[in-house]
Amino acid sequence: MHKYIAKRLLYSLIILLLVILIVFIVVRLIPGDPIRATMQQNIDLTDQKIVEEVRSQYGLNKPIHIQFCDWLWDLLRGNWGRSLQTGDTVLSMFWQRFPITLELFAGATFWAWIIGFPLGVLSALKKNSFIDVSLTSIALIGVSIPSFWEGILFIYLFSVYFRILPPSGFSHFFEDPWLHFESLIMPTFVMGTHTASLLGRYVRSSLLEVLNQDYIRTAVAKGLPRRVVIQKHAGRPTMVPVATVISLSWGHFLAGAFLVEYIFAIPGLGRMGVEAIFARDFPVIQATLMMVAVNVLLVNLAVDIFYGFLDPRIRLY
Amino acid sequence: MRPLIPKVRSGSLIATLLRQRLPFIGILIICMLTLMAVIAPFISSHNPYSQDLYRVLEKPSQTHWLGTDNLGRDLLARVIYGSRISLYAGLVSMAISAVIGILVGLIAGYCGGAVDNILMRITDAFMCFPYFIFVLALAAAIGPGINNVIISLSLLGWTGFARIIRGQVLLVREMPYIEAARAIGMPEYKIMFRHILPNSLAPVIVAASIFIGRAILTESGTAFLGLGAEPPTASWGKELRAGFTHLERAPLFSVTPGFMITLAVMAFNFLGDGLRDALDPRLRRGNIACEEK
Repeated sequence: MHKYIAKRLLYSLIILLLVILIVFIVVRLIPGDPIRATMQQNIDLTDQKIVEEVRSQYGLNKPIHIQFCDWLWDLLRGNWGRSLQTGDTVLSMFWQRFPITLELFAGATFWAWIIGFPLGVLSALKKNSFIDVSLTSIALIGVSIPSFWEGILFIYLFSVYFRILPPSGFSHFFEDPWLHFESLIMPTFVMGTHTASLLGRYVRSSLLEVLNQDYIRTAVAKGLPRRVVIQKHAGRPTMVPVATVISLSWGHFLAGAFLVEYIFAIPGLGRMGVEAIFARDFPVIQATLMMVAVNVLLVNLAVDIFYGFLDPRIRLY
Repeated sequence: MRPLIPKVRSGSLIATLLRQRLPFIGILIICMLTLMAVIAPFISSHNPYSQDLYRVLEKPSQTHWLGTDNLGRDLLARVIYGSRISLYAGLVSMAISAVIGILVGLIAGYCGGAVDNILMRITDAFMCFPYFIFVLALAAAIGPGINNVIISLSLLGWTGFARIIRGQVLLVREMPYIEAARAIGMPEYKIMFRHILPNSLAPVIVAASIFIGRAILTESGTAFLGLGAEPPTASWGKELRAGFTHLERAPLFSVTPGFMITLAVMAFNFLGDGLRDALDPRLRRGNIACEEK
């Protein structure tokens, strides 16, 4: 087991280095001078001396490999640079927005869980019935629907037509707790839809598979009540795919957050990323890309190790 | 022990697909969308580019079946022409990704050892980036335009194909007929392309179908955020973005393009699901498009 974990960690470290390299290359692809692109309002671009000064301040006048090493060193020290737009340090921007996005993640997981899991179980228990077919169709739509369209439909339905939920915006918990929760209902639901649909389908298929096993037939044959068979005997093996879907979805919620936070005007990490991309604010883009990749990397690592504990066969691989 | 990998015989494959309900619907929608894209000038009564600033955001009427957009252009014509961009982006990025992915996967799987290790770690590294964010960042970096979106899509899209092909090659490589081919002195590249590749393709076809759906989704997402096809071009994502700002006055303006995106993505997911069932019954488990948005 130790060897397995060590190997996974080593792989992750190698992948992390490659990720850093990819991020660096992508950001350097920005054509033209990022300083010129972003700081037009702030500094006098006709004065060559000032431009050079700002460039050297951001280290843009050094050779490319030196820039890379500098950046890597800064990254490791937690010095992620300053936003070209606001001048704030990227790290402080990150900590300011992180709790909001984390809350969205938690909300999305909540919806995915309370919708996907019961409906998946229902679908499996009523296999091939009308309920099963309609739930499966809904899940298929849920996997395909673009989050931004779903968000817009919800805004129209609940905010424009029925006027029961705030269309967008965000208020902090301590200012107005009720409005805070109200404003999170739609975004978290939209973020959770995809995972809920996937979860429903996974739960259905894995429960069906488990229910076909011999030991379930034995349990039924020895006269155990149906409820006990499903909860105690079939429930546990079904949890493995559930745990996988839920944890892997955490790696991808951030991509959903980009669009959802944009539509609902929530000042989280996703919106920070979108705004940075629009403004070509390269220190923030760099940090955002690093953040999403490391997020996925950590989730994958956790799932791998979790699986190693769960299933000894995997450790050999 | 894995059962034999089924051969892809097009006649029987299509017959199998059409017998099932969902793949049949998927194929039907894809055919209709393709037809719509090809004969767009003949079925839309309006020019999608002609503006009429006196008649913006109109309600559906006899002349404009779905009303007009924020520049007074016929929404139906815009939506019909929008299918061109989406299908173009989906198909071209799929083709490029598949070719790169197949090459990388083939080399990694066939060579094994250090080459395999290096190529697969690079693949893993690319796979750490959620699709949408990577494409958004890259498209923003290299500038607007649909072709830049396609390049960005392909730059990440090949990873899935590479991983699938590598897995297949590792299985096929050990088959007796490969050993036989090697024994009679067949050159390596011929073994690779003539014997290993065709027998590894089945899962790639499944992945390709689902990839197109995801590419369409990602393209429309980037267009929704203002990147992608340049302004006068009709694209579903762009229409949706414009519609979003006029949601209260003209809800149809947002509803229609979004519906088309959903329809297209769903059709390719259905097809992918059906293909998976038809090509590899062993994989018959309800997981479709199990990646990010």
